[in-house]
Amino acid sequence: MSTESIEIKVFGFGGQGMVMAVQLLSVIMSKAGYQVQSFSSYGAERRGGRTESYVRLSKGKILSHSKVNKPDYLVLASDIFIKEPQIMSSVKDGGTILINCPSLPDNFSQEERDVAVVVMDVTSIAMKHGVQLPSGNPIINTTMLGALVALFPDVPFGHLAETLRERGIPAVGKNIKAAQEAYRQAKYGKKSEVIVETRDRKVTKILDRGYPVYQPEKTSHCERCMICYISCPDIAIIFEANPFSLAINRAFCKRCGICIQECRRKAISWEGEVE
Amino acid sequence: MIKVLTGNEAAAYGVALARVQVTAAYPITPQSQIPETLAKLRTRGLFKGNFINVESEMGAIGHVAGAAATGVRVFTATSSQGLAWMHECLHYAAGARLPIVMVNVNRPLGPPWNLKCGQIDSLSQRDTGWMQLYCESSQEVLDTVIQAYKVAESVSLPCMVCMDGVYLSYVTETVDIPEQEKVDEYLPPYKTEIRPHLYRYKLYEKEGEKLPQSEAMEDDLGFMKDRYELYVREGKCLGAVLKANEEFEGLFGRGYPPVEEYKCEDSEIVMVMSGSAAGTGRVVIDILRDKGYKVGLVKLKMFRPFPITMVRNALRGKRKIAVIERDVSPGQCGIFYQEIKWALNRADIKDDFGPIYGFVSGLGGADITEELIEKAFFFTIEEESYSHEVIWLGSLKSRGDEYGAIVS
Repeated sequence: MSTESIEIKVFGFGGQGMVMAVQLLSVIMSKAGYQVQSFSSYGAERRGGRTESYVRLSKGKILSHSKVNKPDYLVLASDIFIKEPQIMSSVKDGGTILINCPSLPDNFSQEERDVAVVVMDVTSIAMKHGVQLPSGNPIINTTMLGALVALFPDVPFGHLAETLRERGIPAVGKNIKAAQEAYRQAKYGKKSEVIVETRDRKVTKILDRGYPVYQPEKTSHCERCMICYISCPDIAIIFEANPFSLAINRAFCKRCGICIQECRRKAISWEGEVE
Repeated sequence: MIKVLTGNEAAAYGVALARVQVTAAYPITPQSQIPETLAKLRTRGLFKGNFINVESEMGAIGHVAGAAATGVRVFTATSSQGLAWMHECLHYAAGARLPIVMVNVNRPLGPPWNLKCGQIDSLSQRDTGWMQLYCESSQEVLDTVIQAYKVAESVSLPCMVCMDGVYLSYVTETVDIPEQEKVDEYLPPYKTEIRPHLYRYKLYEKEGEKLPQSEAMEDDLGFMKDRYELYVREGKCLGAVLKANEEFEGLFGRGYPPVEEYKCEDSEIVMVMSGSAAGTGRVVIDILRDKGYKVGLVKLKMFRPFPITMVRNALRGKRKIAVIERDVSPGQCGIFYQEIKWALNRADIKDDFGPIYGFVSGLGGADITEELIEKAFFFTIEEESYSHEVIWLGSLKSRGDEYGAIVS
């Protein structure tokens, strides 16, 4: 309802970096001469938890401190959000939806509304430029910002590059290259069309991995070192000493994957990847 | 210098600019970025104070109270359960007349566990003798921290600067950071000839001789005398806040009245709000005024000591008053509502004031939207019966269950 601000709403999952993305966006937009406001809302800070982020841009003072409910720009860091009509219909008439996915589902339609849809396989662009964690998880936020900034004609790409450098982001060169590719595609590509061809989406398995499971007989023998137990930040590993047994307690496990990483015998693996 | 800062970062900049000498804090969501930012500012040479690593919030307040008693400028920050953990030492700080400034990031106490926003934490401490100031923006947080030292040191009482969890602590906003030189001009170094907590031994003098505390405790009236002195001292706080704000405005070009009237002059209905939601309230006032309604907003920045005269002046003669707040005293009513009702209810003046509607909203980080504030306004003007002590404002729908919208 705030009539003087441009409002942006971002949906993502913990680990995608969208909370940081809106903080970076504030700095970028501040350089472009806007008064800015941004914040995020989420429950417990955990990988895979839902995050909502809000941004207001104005040439005058920003007074409202409530969440953005009817954004001018709706940004979806994952295509999972396409399935939620409440989210998809929240964008204002004349607004824009930016979605990270390789292609829209067949039954997707915004035809009845005056809404532009920008679809981009941001994850693949990020991966292509090597913007990922050592574990293989893609980092999509900087690439996503490239696409988003392109939708503001008065904001040059240089502000984004400068902001990333000032922030001291590791491998900043790769981040800037990925953001630049997304920027170009969003700026010069046609709206409401698939911008990028589908690529091999191995990375989507991150959200489909499920929980860690302990299956020493399937992989390699467990040496009962208890390093998994000590490393678990949630004390989610329960074990019995006599006879020895070990299990992951799903009431507390937040699927960070530290136990899988730490186990030297690979006795714990992702549920979704075990046959 | 213009920078884009979160409320937490802004608080830390305020602490650094105030040249605080000793800090101690224990991390707690949503405050943790305050000591983290202080650490960053320390490495950049912008913050020169000491930080004592403590094992808990009780340790934090204990350490800064001890340091304050030696005459240095101190700071701590906490929230929610952490503030509760400090409780007995909050009483100590006021009783000992220690000018501690603390930033409290407003978050409710569980269960159910909530990491977001609610003002019950600081409001539960309203009887400790601390001043309480509530901020609306990241800019106001930075400025208020600086002003708080001026006020606290002039009356020698502790001051709590409150900001909403999430809605201010994590909100990145455009902030103008004042220059160190100007802040130095505004806020000279803390000097105290008489260490404040020793003042009260004067009350325990007998024929010019100071009594040891054990003997002083034999005097039945000693405590009451002390609390009378504290009462008189608290009475000086409002004047100190007004003076500090006036000087700040003169030097920096912006200020924050303890009770601010926004478009109240010709208003029939006044909404009273505090904290970050007051900003949203301003937007709604403008929208309603465009529609022809004569409505204004009173932003209550100072809650302790309660600025009773200013509140009466702001609300006198208004047809109806609506209070929207982020807290509820269980089984009772909203605390701001309760205090305002008390302020307006003196027998000789109570007919000057219209009925007050107390809305409870935004608990646990629920959003106080423009739509909700408008709903509260329309409920207030349309409701003729005056039988609700608490009006629950907001959809209580959660994950499928439906409890209703505004429920009385």
